Amino acid sequence: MSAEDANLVRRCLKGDETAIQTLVERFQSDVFGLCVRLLHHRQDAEDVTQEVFLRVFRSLKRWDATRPFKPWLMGITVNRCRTWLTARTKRPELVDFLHETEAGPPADDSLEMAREIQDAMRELRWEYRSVFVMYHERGLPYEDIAEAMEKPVGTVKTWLHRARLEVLDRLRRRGMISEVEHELP
Amino acid sequence: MNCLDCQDLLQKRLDGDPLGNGEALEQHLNQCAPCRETHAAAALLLETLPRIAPPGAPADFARTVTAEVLRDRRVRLAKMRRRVWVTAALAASVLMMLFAAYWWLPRTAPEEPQQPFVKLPPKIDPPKKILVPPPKMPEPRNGFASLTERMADTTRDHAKVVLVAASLDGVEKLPAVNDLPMLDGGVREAGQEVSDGVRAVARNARKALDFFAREMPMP
Repeated sequence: MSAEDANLVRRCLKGDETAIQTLVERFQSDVFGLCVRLLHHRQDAEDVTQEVFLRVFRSLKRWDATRPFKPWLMGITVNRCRTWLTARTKRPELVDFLHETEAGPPADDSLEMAREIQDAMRELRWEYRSVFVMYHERGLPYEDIAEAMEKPVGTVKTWLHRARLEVLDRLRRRGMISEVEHELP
Repeated sequence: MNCLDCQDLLQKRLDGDPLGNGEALEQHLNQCAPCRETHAAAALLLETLPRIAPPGAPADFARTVTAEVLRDRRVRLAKMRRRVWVTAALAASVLMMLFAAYWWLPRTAPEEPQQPFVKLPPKIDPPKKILVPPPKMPEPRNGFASLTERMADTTRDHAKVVLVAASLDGVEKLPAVNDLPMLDGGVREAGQEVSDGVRAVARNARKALDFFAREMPMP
């Protein structure tokens, strides 16, 4: 962890409001983005994100300052999302996932392809989806994902490879692949 | 190159690692349609993923979360303070009670006999053996004496009768038995009296023996 982050955490522990807001602003996109991808519900994602930050600040004293902060934070996020999903399955309700998860239009006309990928991600198993989002969307390395998921790096690699194959298989089955697109980089 | 090698290269490609064996891969892709489609899909995925806009948090979300965090912090601090105060008050109460007990209670309380949990019936002493005083010896002795005296008197009377008869000169001079002054009751009556006396002696002797056998302690 950088000295700047360590200093920020120290100020947060003292109850500095500015430091707390800075820390939230720095990591809210990671936490909220992962929550939206895992829960497919914006309102739920906001609630879980708030809950995650509450838990983070409650247990900030127990955090090991010699280890990176972000994997620890993402681990809490994954656990809270899993708990939330478990509770949500016990109280089933009608949710318009597509409407709720729409995160704004893509940058170009590849809207359909983006939706296909998001749908493919939604069909993945919980573990596969978590590592896929953390690697491809949040850009975390294997080691950080392994720490967040509390699994060995090899397990994370296996999950990610299987997740990719399932996504690619879905894209192929949905006819999103044309013959001219297999050119190597 | 086979399909498994092709899949390994596919994962490397998705990881962003450089592909070493490009010509062999190209050759395999030209021959294997499934691998070619998979690699095409991977290329499309790599191209599209960066374009998917990550979900953005609502405006002022950080401020809302910060306010909630601060409120939660205040609540927890208040709870912790209250817990500390309650604990301190309880400790002080216990200490005061201990001091009060030390100063006000008597130092050595009289020890009370411990009551058993189960009430036992009162102890009943076994009945004392009533000692019968040994019989007094004068009683049988007097019985014996009177019996002996009576037998002696009867015998003396009978002896008188016999002596009177023996002192007569002739038989003819002997008075008839019935005429004898001392034989008013006749010889038969005298014999009967002797018999009664002996019976009385025997009865009293038996009584005395029974008494001794009953009352005297056996060894």
